[in-house]
Amino acid sequence: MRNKKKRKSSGGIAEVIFVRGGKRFGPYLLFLAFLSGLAVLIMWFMGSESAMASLQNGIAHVTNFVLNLLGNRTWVIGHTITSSRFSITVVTACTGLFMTAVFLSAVAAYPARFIAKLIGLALGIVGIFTVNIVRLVSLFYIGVYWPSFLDQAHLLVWPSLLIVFSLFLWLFWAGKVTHAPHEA
Amino acid sequence: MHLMKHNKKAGTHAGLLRFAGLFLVFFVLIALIWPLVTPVYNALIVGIARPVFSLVERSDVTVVKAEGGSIFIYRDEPGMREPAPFSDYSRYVYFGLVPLLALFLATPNLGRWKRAQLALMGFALLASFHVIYLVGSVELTYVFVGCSEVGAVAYRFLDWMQVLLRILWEVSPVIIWLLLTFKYWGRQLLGSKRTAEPPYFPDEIKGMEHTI
Repeated sequence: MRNKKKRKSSGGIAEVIFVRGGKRFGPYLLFLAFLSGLAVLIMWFMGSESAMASLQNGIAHVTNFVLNLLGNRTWVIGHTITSSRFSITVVTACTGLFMTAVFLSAVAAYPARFIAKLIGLALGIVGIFTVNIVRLVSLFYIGVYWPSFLDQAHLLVWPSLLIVFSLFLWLFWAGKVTHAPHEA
Repeated sequence: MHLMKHNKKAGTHAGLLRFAGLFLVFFVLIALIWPLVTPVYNALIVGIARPVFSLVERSDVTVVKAEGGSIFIYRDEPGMREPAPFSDYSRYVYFGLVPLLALFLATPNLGRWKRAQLALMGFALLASFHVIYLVGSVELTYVFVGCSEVGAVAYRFLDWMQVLLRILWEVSPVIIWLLLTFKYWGRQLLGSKRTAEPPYFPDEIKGMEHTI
């Protein structure tokens, strides 16, 4: 019996670090690995001026469309949404690209079926894009009606809400995946 | 059985909604006092960052000054009469403090002491990350504006590091919170099928923690 126990723990500290540590921190390491990989893709994307400009223009046009739908008279010049009262420019940090990368890494690192992961990826891309448009529209309104609050909304409230929205979206998806019926 | 599954799901969603609601309440409360805290926090971060700058720089050219919630970076190069302004950061560089503390306060399944203990650990980790971010982003800017020379391969690597650092700066509060608290709420909010938590220490070294 003792021998058995001894044999089981023969890995010693290496077992503690690599086997148990791997189980405990494995998902986090996997997450960091995916995030690092996506950072390479983002770097490449940011390096391509035309790709980045297309994304920024696309976001500016969608925001402009929503603002016009809400009765504002705005138009797009380059990737700036402008009006007679206020203008906002969609820069790289405003695209939601970084947050989407983090969400995709978290979905990829979570143990789930391939189809569930695909659904998670779609959910993240659509969800974060939508919230980002809401963010840009709200910042336009804040810029027009409450300019003294603009910095706080732009640099404190919205970044926090966007990361926490991504977290809740991930928790919602992960909860669904964990509860999904499995075939034996 | 089907009903039980449904209830478990509904409970999970209700738990998530409650967590989100509590988070928003704490977020607003902390955001209101945050401007009062940032000057003190800024002084702390800049005070720790100064020796780190000296440690990573051969010629010790960076001068960092904290003024209120803002950070001002100067370069003090040989032959200059006084340090030249290089860049500055507003207090919003520390925005992560607000969601981090709100997340800790809203986390389900935590007792008061455990919550305080974990929040303090999270605060220390975020402060350490802010020091790394400040030093890292200044040193990387030196490379990209040509103040520090590196080879082509190192340049590409540092470019990647810059993107990664930028992403981590944005999500550091959530990552720190997840690392410290997942085991307390994971089963409730995600409804994990595991019946027991993996042991913190493997059996072989359990009980030996005090012998070191």
